[in-house]
Amino acid sequence: MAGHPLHPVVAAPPLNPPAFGPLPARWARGLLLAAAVGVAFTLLGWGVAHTRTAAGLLLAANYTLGMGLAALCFLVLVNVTGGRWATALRRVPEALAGTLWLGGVLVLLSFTGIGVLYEWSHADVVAGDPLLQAKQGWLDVGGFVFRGAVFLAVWWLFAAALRRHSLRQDEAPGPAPSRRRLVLSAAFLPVLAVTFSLATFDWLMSLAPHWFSTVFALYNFAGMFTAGLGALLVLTIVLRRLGPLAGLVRDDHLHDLGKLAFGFATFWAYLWFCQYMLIWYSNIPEETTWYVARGAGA
Amino acid sequence: MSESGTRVAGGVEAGAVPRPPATAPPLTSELVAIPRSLADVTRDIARPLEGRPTALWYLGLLVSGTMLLAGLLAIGYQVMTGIGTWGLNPTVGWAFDITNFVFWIGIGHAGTLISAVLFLFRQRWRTSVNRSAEAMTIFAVMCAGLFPLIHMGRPWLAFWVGPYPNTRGPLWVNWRSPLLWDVFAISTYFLISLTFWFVGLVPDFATLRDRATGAVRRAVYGVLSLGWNGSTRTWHRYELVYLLLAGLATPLVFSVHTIVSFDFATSVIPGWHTTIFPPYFVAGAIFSGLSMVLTLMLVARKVMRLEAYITQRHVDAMCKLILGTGGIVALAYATEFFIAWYSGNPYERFVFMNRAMGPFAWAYWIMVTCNVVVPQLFWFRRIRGKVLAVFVLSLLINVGMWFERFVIIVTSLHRDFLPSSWATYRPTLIEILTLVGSFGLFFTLFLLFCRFLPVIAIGEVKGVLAHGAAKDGEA
Repeated sequence: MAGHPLHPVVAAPPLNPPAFGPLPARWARGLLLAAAVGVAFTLLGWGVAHTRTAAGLLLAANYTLGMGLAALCFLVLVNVTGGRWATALRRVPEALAGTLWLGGVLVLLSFTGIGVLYEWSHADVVAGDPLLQAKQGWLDVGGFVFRGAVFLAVWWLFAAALRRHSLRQDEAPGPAPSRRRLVLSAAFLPVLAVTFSLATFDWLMSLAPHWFSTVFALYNFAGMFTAGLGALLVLTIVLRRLGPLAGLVRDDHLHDLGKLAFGFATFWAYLWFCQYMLIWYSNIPEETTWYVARGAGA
Repeated sequence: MSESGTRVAGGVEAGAVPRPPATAPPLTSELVAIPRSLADVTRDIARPLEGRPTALWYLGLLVSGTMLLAGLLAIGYQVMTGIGTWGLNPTVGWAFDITNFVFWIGIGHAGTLISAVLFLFRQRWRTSVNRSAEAMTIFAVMCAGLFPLIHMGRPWLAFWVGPYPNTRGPLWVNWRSPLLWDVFAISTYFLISLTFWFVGLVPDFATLRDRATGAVRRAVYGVLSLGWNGSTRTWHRYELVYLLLAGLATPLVFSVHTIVSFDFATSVIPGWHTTIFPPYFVAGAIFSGLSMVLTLMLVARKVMRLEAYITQRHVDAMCKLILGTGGIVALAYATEFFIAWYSGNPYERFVFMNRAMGPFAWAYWIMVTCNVVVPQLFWFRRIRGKVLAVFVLSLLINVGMWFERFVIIVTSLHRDFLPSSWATYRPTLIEILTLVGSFGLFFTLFLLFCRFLPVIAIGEVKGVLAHGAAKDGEA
């Protein structure tokens, strides 16, 4: 509350001197080297330990995609709630959302592991399993790949449109691009709710195809958003120390981001507890299998 | 916050953020519509408390008092006769009574959301509506508490739900039962909400004390204001306490309806046992609570001539929150339906098909229409701008959310695992009158609140006046 006396008003934000100058070239080289090592080991693993590599790729793909998607959700929420506090650091989530294509490519690559990751993809397994037969209408390879491609395309198109309107504001200041971003963001929320839920059920829940939990998508969303806020905080702090955001991002911005991360981490824990507690309490074997497998070790 | 007699010229915003060109409409509007000085604010809000009540107020009290009386007679009858006076049977063991309980608890969620969560999010528009929303929270929780009490059959033994050393064995309460968790969750929620409401009222009590002309009024408001002297130190302490209470109350917004949802979701009944229930119940509670706040605020705004304080911007913000929480509710309906089909579990599939096409399909489709279709109209600014339309839509959402609880409770029970025990349910007149009585209690308390307490937080609204906020602009 701007007019609220509880919130200390910083008279003049101290201009942080850049702590270590612009991003040193060796940082970039180091990160590229790490990426190259990762690619090399993935290719090696693909031949040596196929199942494990496919699972690792799925994990990495969802984690990378999640950061971009969380940044996109952050922008959408800020636009919809009219939160002007985040304007100073808006370019950071916009850049993070710009990595959505990379996450998308990784998710598409992870589809090469369908055969080893998802038991419902084998006709002979399905033939001997009445439950999987009942799910055939949803869990089939063609539909799975098609849906995934559509979800990724929708998210990427939207992120690009939002970024375009944000950059346009640099050239022609005025409320029109803000209004356009508001409309785009509001329209995206229901689309995101449906696409994210179905994507989570497909990519993650169907790994255990007999198991189901209605809160699973929301739970994953909370986790993804918390992780994304963490990434956003790290990047914002680094950019503030390096110079580009020095003097723009004040301590109270970090306080607000930190509180948001705290709130969403708590929300994630709340959803984790709700799912676990309800399944533990009711003790229906169909549902408890998921936790039994996770409590028993590798 | 001292009274300043000087009138500030209308629309002046010293040092405010640069305005966009006049051609484009601004992205936000003022929180107080007509320019008001600090003294005007006190006068406007204290006026209804210091004059004589209007004929309309007496008429309202007559109607709500009659409803309350009808409810009390029904309650008296069923307590003396037993809850065999209800339409329950061995298959449908929970129906009307628990529906009303969950409905009222849900209504009681908007107050704390507006007062605590929006406070922490620095949503300054909350100042005009938080006082009455908190009052509704407290009254709604009182109405809700009525139903489990009656449901016990022997309400004079209600103290048995408390864990205390006793001579009954000693018989300890069942800590594993979500019904006991309810006792703790709801009583904690009630106490904290009441404290929060009272703390917020203290500066306004002092204002009323200082304005009081009669000795009785001065004495009563004097005791309630706890010796408030308006010093900077007092304000500082007050604001710290308010912030801490807001932090404490925020988890309670989640915990109460989470635990109410556990009453159902810890069972093994298809339609009740589903993991999305806790967040879905919380969203539904806020959705219904905001609708009830909006319904009553629109009436109070008109009757008490508060248009300057409860502006289009407030209505707009509430409509958007309703749209958002309604969206979560719609997503939960869709997820439940999808997962019931995806699960491949014939019982899950049956329950949801039975809801949509079975004997209670009419209730299901009222629920879907009112909770999913109706809120979509709030996407349009033109509809949000029409007070009458918003009023009608908010009423429909209230109806829809009552039916949601009815659908969850009754349709999941009336078709048992054993077809031989399938049954149906129809409420008796006694049950309906009890519901009417709870509405009577709610409206009676609300009318008394409008008469004796400031419906808008005087001290807080002064902080969002254009000239009060001009120093630091909008963050």
